[in-house]
Amino acid sequence: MKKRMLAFGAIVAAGALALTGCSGSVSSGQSSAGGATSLDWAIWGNTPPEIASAEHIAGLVHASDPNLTVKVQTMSWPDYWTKLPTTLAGGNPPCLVSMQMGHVREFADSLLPLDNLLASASINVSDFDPGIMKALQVDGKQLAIPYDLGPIVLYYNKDMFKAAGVAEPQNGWTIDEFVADAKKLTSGSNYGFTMDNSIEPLMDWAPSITGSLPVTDDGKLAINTPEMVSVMSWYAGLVNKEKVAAPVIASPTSTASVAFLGGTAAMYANGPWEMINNKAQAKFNLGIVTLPAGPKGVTGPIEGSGFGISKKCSNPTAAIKALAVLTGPDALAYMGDIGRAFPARTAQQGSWYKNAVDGSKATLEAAMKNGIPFRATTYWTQDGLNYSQGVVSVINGNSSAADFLKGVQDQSQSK
Amino acid sequence: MALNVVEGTEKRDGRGRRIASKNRRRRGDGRTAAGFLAPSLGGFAIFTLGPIIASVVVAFTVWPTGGSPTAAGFSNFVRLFTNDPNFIQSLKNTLIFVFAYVPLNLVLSLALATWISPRIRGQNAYRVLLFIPVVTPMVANAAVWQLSLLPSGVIDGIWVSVFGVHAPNFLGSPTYAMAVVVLMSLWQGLGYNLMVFVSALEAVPESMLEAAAIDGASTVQQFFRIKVPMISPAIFFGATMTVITSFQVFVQPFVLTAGGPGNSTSTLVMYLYRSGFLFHNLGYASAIGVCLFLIILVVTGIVFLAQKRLVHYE
Amino acid sequence: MARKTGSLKAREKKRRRRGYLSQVLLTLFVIAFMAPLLWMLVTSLKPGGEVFSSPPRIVGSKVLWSNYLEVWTYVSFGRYMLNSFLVSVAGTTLVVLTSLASAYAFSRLRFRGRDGLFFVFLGTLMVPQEVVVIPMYLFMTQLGWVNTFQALIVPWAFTAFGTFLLRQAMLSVPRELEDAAKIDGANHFMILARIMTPVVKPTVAVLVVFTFIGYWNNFLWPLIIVNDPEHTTVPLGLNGFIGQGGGQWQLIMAASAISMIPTAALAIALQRYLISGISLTGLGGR
Repeated sequence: MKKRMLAFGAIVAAGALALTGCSGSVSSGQSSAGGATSLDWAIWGNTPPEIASAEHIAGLVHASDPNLTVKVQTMSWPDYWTKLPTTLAGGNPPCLVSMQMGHVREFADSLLPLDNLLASASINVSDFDPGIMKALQVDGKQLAIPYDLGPIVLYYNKDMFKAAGVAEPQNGWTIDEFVADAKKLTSGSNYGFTMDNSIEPLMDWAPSITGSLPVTDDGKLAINTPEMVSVMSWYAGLVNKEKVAAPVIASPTSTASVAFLGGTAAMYANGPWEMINNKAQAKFNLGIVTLPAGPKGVTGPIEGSGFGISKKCSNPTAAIKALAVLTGPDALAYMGDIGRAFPARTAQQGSWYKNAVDGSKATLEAAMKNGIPFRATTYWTQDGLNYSQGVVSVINGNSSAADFLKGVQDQSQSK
Repeated sequence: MALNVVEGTEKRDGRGRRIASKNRRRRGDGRTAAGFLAPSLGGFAIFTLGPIIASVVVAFTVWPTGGSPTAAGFSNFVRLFTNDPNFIQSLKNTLIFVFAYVPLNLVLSLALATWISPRIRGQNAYRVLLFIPVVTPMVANAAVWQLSLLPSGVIDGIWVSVFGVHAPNFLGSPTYAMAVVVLMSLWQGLGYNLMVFVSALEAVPESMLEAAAIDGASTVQQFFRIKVPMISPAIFFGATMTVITSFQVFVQPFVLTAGGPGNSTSTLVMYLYRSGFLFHNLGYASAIGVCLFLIILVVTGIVFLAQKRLVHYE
Repeated sequence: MARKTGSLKAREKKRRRRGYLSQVLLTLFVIAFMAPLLWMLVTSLKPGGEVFSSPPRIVGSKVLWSNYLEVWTYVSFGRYMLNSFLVSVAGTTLVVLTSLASAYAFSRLRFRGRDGLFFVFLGTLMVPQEVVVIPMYLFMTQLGWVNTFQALIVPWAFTAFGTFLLRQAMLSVPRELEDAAKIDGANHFMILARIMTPVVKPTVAVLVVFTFIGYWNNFLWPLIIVNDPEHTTVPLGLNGFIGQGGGQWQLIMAASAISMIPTAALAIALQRYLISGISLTGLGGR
């Protein structure tokens, strides 16, 4: 009996060791064997379409250089930013790091400045949208090469509009029209709009209502201003006053898209990158329109993401070559095609328009005309966490926006 | 290899078989013991004792993740108790949880244990069914409860059919959220103490109960005057275990409400996790850990003191 | 005399009626208790859009057993299950082997400071895992074990629980068995392997059940130490699945159901040992 136990244990232990060996390599995020180099690439998104799209463009790198392989390491979206510091500080950090405009300041210390490497990989800065290129710089240093960008737009359920006898919204429509429509679309257990507890909506609606953002130019939090309180009160009022959106709960689940895709909410706000998931999962006719405009007109933050190289990468030469392909024309055309990303390369943007729903080109162009670059604080992840914890109460009508925003400001380290 | 050979002495009995040498007995089994204990105690020293001591040391530093520590004296502890409303709130929440959950758990599982007496057919099956939530992953349990309690979920649906209005937003309201966490935890944890009490109740001799019945004691009196004192060691054990594990509450609020709404279900372990791994202050988080342990010690000590007076040992 | 018998019969009848009532009520209670799990099963078989139907229905328009297949491809659920099995089995094996050895030492061998050492050993059982995760994490970074299987298996394999349990059992093994073996020249290792272990097999079974369940359900530590899907265990993977946008609740419920099977099956199959284990730890060996 014991012998069998021992043998069994030995097999299991051997299996464990084998699996241990399989996963990850010894040096920092890359390994070489006989001329072949493998680089680890950290990116968010773990739905099958998102993983498949990442694997596809990683494959493009290998096709361009058979000695170079990019290994995709995905982390689910909510966890990516909280796990990234430990991943980068660990013993085997990835060489290629996906980065967002909103977080580049936070990770500035861990990313390699790319300015001097661009030439060696023939990356031409002017091919890219200048706004997002600048937004991925900190203190004048380019920390990531952009791959996608996008304004926040409103997705809507055409079938629900038709059933309620409401005319479809047009680009440039106002907040008053939006609230009126939402009220008509709210009946039974269906709501006109849906929201969750993340901090992004505050950023999305503020420029159009007050012309400002809760973040200063140099990355400090300024969320406790009368302007922001008015935006917060209005937004929370959609749930607790106008009752056009369901009460929220404080859970990591982003229930906003759940309600929309499930057909119980007629409208929701998100970016062009959601086109791929929305088209895949919506069982209704999908519409897209600009975010309802406040007194300051159609304007809003333009967000975007890119890829950078971690400072601990031991093979930046290979990494920048991989980056060039990952943000190259073919990769971005593909991403636009499948609706995964609105390309940051101006020439490739047509591919996203081609396969998005009707009216997308007009909507995106209208939204971006007066858009402002998204900017975030130095401790954006922590500020977002503080916000999302307390905002549920405000949205559900149980506490005041002013007190809440003051609390978030006081607790922030980005002051 | 026979120790006798190592020790160098051999004794034989009348039939020529080797017998244990008295010498060996007196010398003790130190070397063998070392061999047998090495893996377990070696691992213990490295992976249990070491980290326990280290957690106290780290609590006196400021240590950012991926950075290096700097000595900080008592500043972490001072800040916890004087300048950190989040900590105070999570302490309050944890205490509320413990003082609501533990008594309810003990009373309900004792009631169930009494109900599922040997006279009930299929008692084993009932007990095992009630035990299942104890062994299933807490994340899965919490997922099911969250799904049911979402503003568009089944509880709301039933509420609308029965009462005509929407149910209160259980997970989104500060008053109800903690109640939900307690309720869910009761559902998950009852099974364990149920088993403890059933074993204990079965050990109460029938003869005592019959004697009491003959003397005119009612079932209720039998229960409180005989059964409860006789199973008091088990109640004490259940109370201690439940208190200690309830202070560690983490997964339920993490999955159900993420510590919200606001701060109303954030517990000590949640705050420890947030401080250490979301806000990257390892020293501060360790200080929270030390406080947690001290609180557990104090409350367990109180339970022990209560035991001296209340528990009846044979 | 006759009257007394009469009232005895009446009392008996009353007791039996109460017994039936009790049984019925209990059955209803247990069904209500199981309701969350039943709802989980019901939801897992619905088509995606019908999870939140109003009014709620038990059966959707279709009964989709295929959801259970879709789970494996939607996220790397197969990988999560494999990882959990690996970690739990390896961890349990490690715990059983080391605990057998140290329990033998504490119960049968004599050496200086034995009881004091055991007391300290046992005392650390009071320190919960949560208190130790911070220094343990730092330790893992220094060993280079962050995001590895060793980190999931080894750190928690050396608690005193197994030693305590097995020592209890060994103490009640009659000495005659070993004395006979010693006379035949067996050394301690052989005694442990050939004599002790078979005798304490039931307690080993208890330890296996408790340890396996502990490893399988562990959440906080994997949450801290795991960074990629290759090392993710089932509870962690389930949490990530829930947190993903566009929640496919019918798949989440199917995944939850699958994740419950190993430990539930173990508990049901080995319930005898669970029950005896709970009484062992609770009441015996003071």
